[in-house]
Amino acid sequence: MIKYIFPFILFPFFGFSQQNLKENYIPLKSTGTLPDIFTRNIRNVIQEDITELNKQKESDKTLKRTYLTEANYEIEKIVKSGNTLLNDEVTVYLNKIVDVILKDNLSLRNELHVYTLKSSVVNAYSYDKGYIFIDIGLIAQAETEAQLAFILCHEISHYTKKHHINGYVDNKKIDSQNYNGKNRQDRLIEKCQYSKEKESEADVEGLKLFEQTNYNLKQAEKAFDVLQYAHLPFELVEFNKTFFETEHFKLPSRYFLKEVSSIRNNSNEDDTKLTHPNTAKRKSAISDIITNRNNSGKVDYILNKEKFEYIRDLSRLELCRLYLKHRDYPNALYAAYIMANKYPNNEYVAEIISKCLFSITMFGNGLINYGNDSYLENGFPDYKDVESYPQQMHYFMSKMPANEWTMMSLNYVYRNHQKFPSNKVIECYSDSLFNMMKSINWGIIDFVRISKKNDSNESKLDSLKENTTVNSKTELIANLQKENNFKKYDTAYYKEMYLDLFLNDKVFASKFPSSGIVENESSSGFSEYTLNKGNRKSVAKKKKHGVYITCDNKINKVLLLEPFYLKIDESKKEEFRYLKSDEKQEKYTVTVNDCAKRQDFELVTLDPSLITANDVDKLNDYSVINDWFSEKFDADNSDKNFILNTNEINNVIEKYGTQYVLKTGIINYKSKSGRKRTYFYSFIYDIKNNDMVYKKQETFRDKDSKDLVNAKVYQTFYELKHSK
Amino acid sequence: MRLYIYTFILFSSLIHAQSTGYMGKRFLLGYGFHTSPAIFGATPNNETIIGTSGNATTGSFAFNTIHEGFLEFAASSKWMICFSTRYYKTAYDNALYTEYVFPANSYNSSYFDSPDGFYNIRGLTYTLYFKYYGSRYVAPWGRYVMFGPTINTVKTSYDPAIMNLGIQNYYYNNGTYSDTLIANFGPKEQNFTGVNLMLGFGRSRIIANRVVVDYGCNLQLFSVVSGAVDIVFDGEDLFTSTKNTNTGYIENTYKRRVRGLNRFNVFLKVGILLF
Repeated sequence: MIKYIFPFILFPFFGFSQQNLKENYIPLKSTGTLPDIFTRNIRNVIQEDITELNKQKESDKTLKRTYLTEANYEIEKIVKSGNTLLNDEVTVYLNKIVDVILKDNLSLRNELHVYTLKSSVVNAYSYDKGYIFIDIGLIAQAETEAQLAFILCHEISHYTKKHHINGYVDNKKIDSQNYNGKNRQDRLIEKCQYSKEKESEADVEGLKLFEQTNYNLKQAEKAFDVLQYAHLPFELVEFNKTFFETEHFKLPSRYFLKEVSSIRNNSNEDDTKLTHPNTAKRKSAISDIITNRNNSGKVDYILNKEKFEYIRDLSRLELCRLYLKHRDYPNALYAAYIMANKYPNNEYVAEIISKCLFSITMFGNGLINYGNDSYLENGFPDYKDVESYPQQMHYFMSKMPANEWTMMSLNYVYRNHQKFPSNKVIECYSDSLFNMMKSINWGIIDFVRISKKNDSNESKLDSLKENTTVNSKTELIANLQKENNFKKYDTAYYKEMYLDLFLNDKVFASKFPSSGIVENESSSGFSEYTLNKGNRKSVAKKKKHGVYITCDNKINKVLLLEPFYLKIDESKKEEFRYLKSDEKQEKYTVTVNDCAKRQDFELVTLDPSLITANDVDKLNDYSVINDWFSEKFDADNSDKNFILNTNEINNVIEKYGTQYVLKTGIINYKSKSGRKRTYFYSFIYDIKNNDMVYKKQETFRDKDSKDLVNAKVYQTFYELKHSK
Repeated sequence: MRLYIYTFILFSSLIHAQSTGYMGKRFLLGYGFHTSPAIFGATPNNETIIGTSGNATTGSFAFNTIHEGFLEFAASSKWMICFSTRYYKTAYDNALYTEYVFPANSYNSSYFDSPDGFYNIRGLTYTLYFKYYGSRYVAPWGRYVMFGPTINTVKTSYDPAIMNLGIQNYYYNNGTYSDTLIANFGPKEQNFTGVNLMLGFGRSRIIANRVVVDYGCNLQLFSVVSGAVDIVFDGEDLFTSTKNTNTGYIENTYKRRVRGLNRFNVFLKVGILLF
């Protein structure tokens, strides 16, 4: 009994029970009651801010009013994007550091709201209303608690010095000034100069705040080193070739770089066109100040070293997921590799590596392409452009042929499946890799053809060989050609990689393609990617006037994901009509629901604009779906891209009772000359099968009149309801 | 037949709750106003857009006007089946065109001319037409083209005190002259029927999901063709007899006015989306 009571007694003291990272990691989620910023109507917030501004005797009120509108919208977009974490372990920890920093300034403390952003970028942001956002990428890179504290001090100083609003006003003034003979470049340089001054001021003011704490002042200096090398992974460890090796599988050394390139030092880069001074200048300025300061007795950790390392590990594990979301598989693999060295039995890490191997297999086989809109717009970087140890992994990926990578991936993923048999995701990738083996025209026969050793098992191998009969002349030719390739390229190092599995694992042998001939190959090259498979076989049933419906099942219920409305008017000073857009968006949501109701079409709305204080789960669900979309569109062919980072998507499907997500919106544009255009879109995605099943997008040379909006939305549901 | 139509309409309106058409509404009832500049003789005062009695320098700015009641049914999101009745009231100004009248009872007339005055025309045009909405639109909202057959029914009436023709007859047998006033142009009220083909295009907007405002233009194809022929053949009406008798005068002349009225119109319609 006591074992059940004990955690409840401990809970109030620790707030959260820590995750056991040795075994697994559960992705970060928001919890608790949502604060006002998540639930308040943005138009009321802006109105209140403007009323407050009008009461004050301040200059540049017109510009500041515009700022308040834009900044509030920006904050709302960040907060309601689903990427902002609330009351999770990391955010709670960051707030505790802020508590330490401002323990003597409670009024300022109460003005601040610190949140963690699920972003792989190494950055932090501060807004004039006291909102500070720290990226996961930055926490993953921090070396000590004191470094995080200094970064927070820097951001707090931005807030106290009102840098955000002043920066906005400065930039607008520069834009509106008449520059005699000065071009856009000159204006950019001037803006950057203003920005750099503010950054330097925030460094100095932040340091003053930092000095008031008992944190080691040297860590402020070191924080700039962290920023300096933020483009590198959070740790630099040698990529050991034994990581993917097994007893019967030894990788040839030709795939591994012995010497890696040195790390370039660009701390003194030209910062004329940068918003921040270069790190050398910043570091030097701080060094000058702290040289004469008494640093004795100051510590790197006030809260707890173990706690910091735990929080950092959470961030690093989360970072692997964020890299996957952006299809940045090399970085995800390297990050997971580092974490696997620390937590070799962590199921989540094994899953991430399995996903990375599978994804790189797909990339190698041309099934993932990157485009201009992709996070990795040029695809995987050339190993020559990568610095230090990660270069080894990039070299390995670039040198190993796609078919060998497929075999190695299957070897690694299947063994992970054996290790974590209940993990359906790893099992699914393993099954998919079996199919990939088919697609590269390899089968059992290719692995048992030459038996060099293991006499005791020879008879078993022979029996396997006998079972794999060659049925035709073409099959025979195909095998002979492969045999020649072996000799030519001497790639037989992998011949025995599955030996133990063939001998000891009947399931493995049964799943393995029996011959080198492709059976039931799908157009994508493999046919049984069952977890989140793109539905290749669905045929366009209707494709007319920009509309198509491709769905094997009738769509009876959809999840409406935050309808979008944007009004742009070039004839106005504020081109983006934020207030009007928000008002229209609210009405648009009502219209969409009304049209669905009129046709008895089941619609569930998941809109962060409509959530209440107790709807934190909805915000998390929204985040899961947004991640799905983020990954979906982060490759060149958005209609056919596979989604791999969707473990939680099945829970969302089950919760809302539908796998179809509707994204709809309207963009209304008015040019300076009065030309009007209205763009309407409605897309429905099958988040289970990773497919777009309904698409409608049209542009009208007209204003966004109510009849236009009503007609198009109603038609969307009508077409869905009456599709055959 | 009527029963079937009613049953069909009732069935598709009530049983098909999620029906095609704008916001699921498919019946439209309304009023339309058509107008066109009266190039020739719109009123009994011979007022036209060009001038009085063909005099280009004087005259009022006159327009033809037609009133319409219509019922439209959205058969699909693109097609509408419509029926309308148009009503107009105008006059035929005898002075406008020189249509010589040869008295029916005198083949040796030495004098002939157009009658004085005018006669009234009242018309009802029945049209069964189809509207096709553009690819991005949903009936009855958006841009459309329309076409359909029309039946023009015309009722004319005249007042002999206003419309008459004074002629002088010469009698060869006794060498005398006599003045005769011809006031008989057939029955006081005469009915005529014709067919035509209506074409048009327009755009409709919807206010408050209920009120439809529809504007555009239409023409009647045969009227356009006859107008073109009139121009080419200098006013010779090839579609009527070339020699008018007093009793056949109206029959031979009313079409010119009716065609002028129906030839080309712009319209503004207001309708209510019923269900």
